[in-house]
Amino acid sequence: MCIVMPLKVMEINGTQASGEINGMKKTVRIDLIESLEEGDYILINAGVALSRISKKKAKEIREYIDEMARL
Amino acid sequence: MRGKNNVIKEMLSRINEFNEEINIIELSSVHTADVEKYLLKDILNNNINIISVSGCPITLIPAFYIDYLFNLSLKEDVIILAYSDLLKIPGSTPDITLGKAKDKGANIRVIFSSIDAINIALHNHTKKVVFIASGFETNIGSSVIAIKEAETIGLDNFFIFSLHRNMEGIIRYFLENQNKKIDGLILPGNFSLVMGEEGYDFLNSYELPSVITGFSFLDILSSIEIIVNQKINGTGQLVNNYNLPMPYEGNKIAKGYIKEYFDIDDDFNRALGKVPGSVYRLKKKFDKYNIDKIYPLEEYISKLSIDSSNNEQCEKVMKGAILPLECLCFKKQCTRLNPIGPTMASSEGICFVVSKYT
Repeated sequence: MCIVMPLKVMEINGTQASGEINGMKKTVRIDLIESLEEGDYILINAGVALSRISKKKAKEIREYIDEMARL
Repeated sequence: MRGKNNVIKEMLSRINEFNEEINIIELSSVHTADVEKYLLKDILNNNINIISVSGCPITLIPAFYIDYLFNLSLKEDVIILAYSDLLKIPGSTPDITLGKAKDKGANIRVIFSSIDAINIALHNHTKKVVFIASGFETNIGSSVIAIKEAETIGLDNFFIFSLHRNMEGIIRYFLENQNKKIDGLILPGNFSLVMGEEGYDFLNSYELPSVITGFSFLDILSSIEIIVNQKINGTGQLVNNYNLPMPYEGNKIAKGYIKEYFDIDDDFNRALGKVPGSVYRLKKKFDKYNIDKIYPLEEYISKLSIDSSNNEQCEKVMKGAILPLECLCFKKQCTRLNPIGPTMASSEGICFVVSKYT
């Protein structure tokens, strides 16, 4: 699965973080990320956060995913 | 928007000034989609060839492993859990798919995360729950998180079947088995989120322009320009053109997990034969989570043999020897609704992607 999705972290609870994608609440594992804070943006793949990214990058990736989905 | 279009126009113009033959391999469905959607082959001059090879790890799963899972799911009291695309991948015939086993009554479910497998195992403690762990290094951290959770909880009914692929082994195969000279490589960016730019270091020995590339059209076009410029200058270097800030060494935690739980090994890959260092196997000390130790492969398939899909054209598409459009079955007998081979069955397969735009 190549697709990574950006997520804004709204809540952190141990090894889980939750945020919103397309209006739906999403809970993911953050075991692979060091020192995450609420308000951070992360890239997720198969329910797991792989990397922290900037808000600007998250927006770009989101726009790309939406554009590809429109085809 | 006008600014971006001008950038693209000027970039294309510079690339098209180059008039020698140049062959560039790409192996990610994201890049295949960009090539097709933006008609890249039409707007680049004919001397610039973009060769798509099948880098989708699901398409590389040998047919006999699908046969194994198909038979296992129908014969034993197990719950098989997989990411959705795996259900459509054909085994030794198009009638052998996990989706069809499910239609016959096998307990097969689609999951979106490895932790879903843990939750299902918790709620079905009388059954053996088998998580099919697929994907390149990008996904292995997710598999390890599930195994660690099983260890912590003390689950005795959670198992995995590792079909994880090793990016270096697969790329080496594609580079060393082409019938034309390869001048450049467009590399999937997401792999480097986990393995870092360091994960592609092995390419330095090939002295081949190799560019870690993001997902947009501008990303792929700028990577092509980097490759063309290196060709002009006679250099062959790895370049990181994936515009996401990440440590050179990647995700240390994920890499540590991979090393702790898995060994790299040789194994068969569909259409490619046995490829050295191309897969990840769960380490022996975690045998208790390995479904293959409970239900050995050879007891559920008729013979352990080199995978021959009996579909030469499919194999040629996978290796980049022919285009999907050159396959006689493409969009005739073989469609997204009724796929024959894995590259049409997987939504990230070359044929599936190309068929969306043609």
